[in-house]
Amino acid sequence: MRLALFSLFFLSCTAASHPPVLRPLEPLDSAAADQLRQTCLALSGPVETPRRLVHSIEARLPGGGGTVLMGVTQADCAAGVIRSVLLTLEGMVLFDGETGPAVYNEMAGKKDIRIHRALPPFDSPGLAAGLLSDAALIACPPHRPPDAVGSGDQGRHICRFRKSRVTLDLIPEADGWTLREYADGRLRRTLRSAAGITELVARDAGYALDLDLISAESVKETAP
Amino acid sequence: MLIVAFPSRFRFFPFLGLLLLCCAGWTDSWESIQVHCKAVSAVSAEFTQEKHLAILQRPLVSRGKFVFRSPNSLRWEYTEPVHGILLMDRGAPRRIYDTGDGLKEDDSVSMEAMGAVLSEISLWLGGRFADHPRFTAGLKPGGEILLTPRNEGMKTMIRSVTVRLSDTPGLIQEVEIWESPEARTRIIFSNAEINPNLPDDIFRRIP
Repeated sequence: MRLALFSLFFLSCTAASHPPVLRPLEPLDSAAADQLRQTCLALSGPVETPRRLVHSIEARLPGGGGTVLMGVTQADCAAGVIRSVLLTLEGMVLFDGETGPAVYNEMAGKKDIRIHRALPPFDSPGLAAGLLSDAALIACPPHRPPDAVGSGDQGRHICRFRKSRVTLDLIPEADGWTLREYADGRLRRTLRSAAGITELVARDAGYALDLDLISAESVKETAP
Repeated sequence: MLIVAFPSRFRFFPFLGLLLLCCAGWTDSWESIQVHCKAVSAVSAEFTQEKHLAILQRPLVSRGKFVFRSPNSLRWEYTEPVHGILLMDRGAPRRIYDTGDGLKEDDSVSMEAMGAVLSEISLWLGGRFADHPRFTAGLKPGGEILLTPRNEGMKTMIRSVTVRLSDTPGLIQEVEIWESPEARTRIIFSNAEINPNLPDDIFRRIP
């Protein structure tokens, strides 16, 4: 029963058969573009790094179910190293994984991922990669001048960041911001932050996480 | 088998509850533990839970209240940093959590796993640590019990459990669960009460 729920939670594709695709931005006038660049830079940082974040996480499952977990993320964004630990309220570690340029693990079957501990069903390499990508998006928002700015859907102003096959659209909003992650032009994740609450929707995996930040601290003496 | 196969978060709790219930009396032998267990039918306590991880400079600390009544009723309530309750009324488990938008039922709970856990309760109730099928137990001087999983599958989740008895007969001071050399959970009990007067609905009531 529970295994099935988690399988649905993390692995199944949702009924959303055609996720939104990345669309070209409409140009803004020079003054508006400059202001938007500054707004986005201010929204996304600077991120003190390395740092450690502790969240309570409400996971919403396809079909309306849910559970609550604790998450610890240690991130050195500049080095590209992220370590993420998911545990139950009762303290049991369900997943402990790390990604970055210097790690490789046969168990994960994928470059740049090391799994320190993963209990079923968290031991799937695909799931590990997804969880670590979630953590990276949450802990390391883009902090650099955008590659492009412009007007997008419904006239919203968008700062666009590109890295390899991934595109990030940062959208300033009245009460926070939204970050959309596209892979190969298809929307993969949406991260929204407002009033101290962060919501992550993993569109292709069919789950949503509501994250409430419990603590954030810099990591001075230990590397992830 | 199901317990070993799936990492139910609730696996710890009947286990801990029974430990708290059963170690009723300062003991230096299994026989004495069993004798004292028979005198205790319920217990309540506050607890502080420390989660120690290699990547944490300081442990994650949670607090709450624990109530257990023989044979299989439990209320394990976290009050901070996240409000969550595990309720078990004569073996029927529920888990409720509060994320600020009201109380919600956690429907990822495995009833099968809970049933399997409850099937073990009678062993713990009898204080029969030494002949438990899933753990080997060692009783050390000073009131420390070391439990080690017999099953290799269980060892992937829990390497060992240390129970430290309190100086007060009928109580334990703390339980430490080692998942790996880098991860351990320490639960410290305080303000414990043996055989308290418990309201009938305490194992069902949701705030």
